[in-house]
Amino acid sequence: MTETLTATERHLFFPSAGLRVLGVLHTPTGPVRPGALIFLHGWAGYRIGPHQMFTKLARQAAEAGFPCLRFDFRGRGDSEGIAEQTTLSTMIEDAQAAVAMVCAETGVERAALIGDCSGSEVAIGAGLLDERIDSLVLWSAPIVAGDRAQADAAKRRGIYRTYLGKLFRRETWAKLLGGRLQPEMIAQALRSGGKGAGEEGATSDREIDWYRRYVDFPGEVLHIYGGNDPLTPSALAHYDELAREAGRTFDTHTVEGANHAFYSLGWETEVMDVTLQWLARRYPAGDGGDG
Amino acid sequence: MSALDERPVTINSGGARLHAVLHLPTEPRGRALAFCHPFAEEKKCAHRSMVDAARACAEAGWAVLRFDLRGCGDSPGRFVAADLDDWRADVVAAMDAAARETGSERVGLLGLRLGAALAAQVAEEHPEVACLALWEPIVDGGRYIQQNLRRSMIKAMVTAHEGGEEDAGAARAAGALGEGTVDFDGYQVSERLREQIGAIDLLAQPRAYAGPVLVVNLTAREEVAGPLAELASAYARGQAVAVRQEPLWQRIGVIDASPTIEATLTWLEQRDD
Repeated sequence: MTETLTATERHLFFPSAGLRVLGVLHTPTGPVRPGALIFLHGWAGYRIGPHQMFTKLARQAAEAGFPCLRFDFRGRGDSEGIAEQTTLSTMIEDAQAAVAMVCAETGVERAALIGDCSGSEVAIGAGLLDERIDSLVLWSAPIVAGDRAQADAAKRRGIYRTYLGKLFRRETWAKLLGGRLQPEMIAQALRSGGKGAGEEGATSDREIDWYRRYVDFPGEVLHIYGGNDPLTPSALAHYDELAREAGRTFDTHTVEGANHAFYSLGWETEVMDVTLQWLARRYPAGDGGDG
Repeated sequence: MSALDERPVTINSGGARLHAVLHLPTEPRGRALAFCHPFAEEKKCAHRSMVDAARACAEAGWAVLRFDLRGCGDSPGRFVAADLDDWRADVVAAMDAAARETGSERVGLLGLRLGAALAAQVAEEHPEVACLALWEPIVDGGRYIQQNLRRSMIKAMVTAHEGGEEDAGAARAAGALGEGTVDFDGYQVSERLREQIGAIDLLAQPRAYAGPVLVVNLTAREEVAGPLAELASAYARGQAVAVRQEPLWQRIGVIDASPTIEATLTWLEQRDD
């Protein structure tokens, strides 16, 4: 079942593990580049991405010749499935189904995965499972190799230590509008600043050899981080270390001053521009496909 | 879970095309609801809760049309180009589409936050609205804008890492993009839209809408918050309920919205009038 929204966008359901998953397929009107882009949203998001970044970037990319798919993982958005049963493993299966569907629909034989936060973990987990996937673009990728539970716990401890420390500083309060703030407002701001429950992951997630999935991926990888994201220093150090061990380099871009989800138009534009330029080099126009 | 009868549809709203999803009940009762989503990133956070609510309503015999206002979600258009006049027109177009697509003679509105305020405004001009379910409506738009900008500033200052650019982040969060335009956590809000939202005051005058109205307060408290109780009493047939529920439009984690959905279904079951 499909519904054509515009000349270049249509909604369609496709199957993944027996469940209906909803996606939006963006089809270029001009010459098609030799790679399709598949967008992977974060743990509790849906196909539009943070502040509609996926919608905006998919429209720009389709104009530049990329077929694109934005879709909801099972248990998320409009897709079937029970929210509490979603794991990184089920998300990886959905990503594989999405790649297969896009390649069948568009005839393109190469694919790039663009993941945001937990969507980046899914991209790392899926990259090695389908040889058509030859590029990963990872926005704010958390540390996934090694002991996931320990890494998550350390991350949470670090974030809360940073947050609480700042909350009790006099200069922070002085800056915040003369201190005319309600405790509930601060609590709400902090609650909405991190990821949600369930990120510890299922047993099946912990059984994945994340280290091998990352270092053995034969394609190219671009990391993008916010310069003001508390996770950035440790994540960059971690992936630098993995790159050294793998004897290769991965591309990295840091958006100065940006937070975890790039909550500003300027930061958003930089992320989208860097992503699209990198992908345009990976999949030049006129290099295969229909173009 | 029973098989879901859901399909994406496209709505025409004065020439603008809108994305929508139609949820059809297995046992239709000739009644439908159009859902009005909240503003900016609140929509992303609340999306799955709205889907869950639509599925529960469909199971209870209501056809539901969920739609994206122009410039929002999957709908075409630029966010910065939209204003409340456009969005109210979109709500009316969605009601028409819900009636047409489902064969329902009467269509009610369910809205969350700004979507609830839009639904309330539309009902003032459209007495044919069958009923109004308002989840945490924005009663005071000026306060809403101020709270959001302050929250962005707090988030930017507190979540910056040591040695990071706290002031730059806060300044961006406060949103100076140039005269009149606000960067609302990555959403470009025009001066006109900001002024229109700032002018929302649902308590300014008695509500003319005469149909049944449910105002839902998502709270940790037992009693309904003052402004929401006052709003319910401003309607001839208004009712307010306090539901123990976290603010599902602000949370990034997976939310179980069933307390709010169940309270709404209980009220909807009485809507055969």
